Amino acid sequence: MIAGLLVLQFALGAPGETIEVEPLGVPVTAAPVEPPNSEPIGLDARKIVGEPAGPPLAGTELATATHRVGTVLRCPTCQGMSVYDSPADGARAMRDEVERMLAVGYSDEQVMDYFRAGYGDFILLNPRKEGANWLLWLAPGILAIAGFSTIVLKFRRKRPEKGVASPRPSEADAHRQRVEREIAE
Amino acid sequence: MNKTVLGLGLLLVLPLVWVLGRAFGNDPQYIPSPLLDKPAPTFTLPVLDGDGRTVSLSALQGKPVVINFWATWCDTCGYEHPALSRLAIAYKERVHFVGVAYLDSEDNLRKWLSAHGGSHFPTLIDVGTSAAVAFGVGRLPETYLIDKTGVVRHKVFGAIDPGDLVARLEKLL
Repeated sequence: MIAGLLVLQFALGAPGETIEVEPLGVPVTAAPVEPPNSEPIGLDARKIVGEPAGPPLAGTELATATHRVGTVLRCPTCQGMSVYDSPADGARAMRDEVERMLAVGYSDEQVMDYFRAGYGDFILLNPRKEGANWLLWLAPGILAIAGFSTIVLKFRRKRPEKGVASPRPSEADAHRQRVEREIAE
Repeated sequence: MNKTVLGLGLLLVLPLVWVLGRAFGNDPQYIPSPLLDKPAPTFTLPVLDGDGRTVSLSALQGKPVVINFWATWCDTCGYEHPALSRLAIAYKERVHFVGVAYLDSEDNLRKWLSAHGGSHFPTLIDVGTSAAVAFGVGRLPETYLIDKTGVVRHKVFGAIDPGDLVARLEKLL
């Protein structure tokens, strides 16, 4: 705890104090670096979603698949837009990643699972049809039916029932004839 | 009003009000990480000006790791950089610190680091943004704390709070 406080005091530093630094290009490496070409650069998607499940894609097929997957992945920086439609740099990089994966044979599901592994269900513009998500899919329909049913019920109750609320035609006619007679007199 | 209709209406509306009410206190830009308490995605990335040398996340196990996703175009990243540098010095022997440059050019990174006095931890180049995607990076800066066994323990969204980071690192040591 005391060590932590000392570190924190150091980390915050004194106001206006500058940090003593190493010359650029010779960083104080807090992480061990490895010699050139020891491992493939980047991240191996196979460790997350396994081997590509489909055939490699190219040309029109690849463009169609990129559009299909890119339009259901949410842009994380702009929200409400897909990575395919968003002009943001981050979205463009994600779209390129989608294309790269599809080109080597990953299926639509694998690509989406790859993005879900990092971002969770947030990254999907359409929630998956499972578990509590069913509420999201069904609620609009249930609400619409409930609303429509309520309106129909109210409307039917307000309509006068035949032969009860309005006077019988014969009574109305007799009343009118009597009024007309009295006016004429 | 008919009590049945009123009850049905409340039954349908109240859950929606509850869901919307819960979201009021949240930052809409915050993306909850599904990686917490799970093994971190392992990557191998080249070091800026490292003459072809690389850093593999899998090789860092044995000590806690702090991964800071940043960029020169991110103002908040510049704001937190001095504190991160100081922490990297303070924990030099006990914690690995790595910066991962997101959507940035090497030239811009060199200029920025030169203007800000270099770096006390290596900056890695996220080729194709694959590391950022694997970690679910949205808005910069984002910092991840990984324990000695390679499990993601915490995600910091936005600038780090040095006091909070120190407290969390002390628990991981």
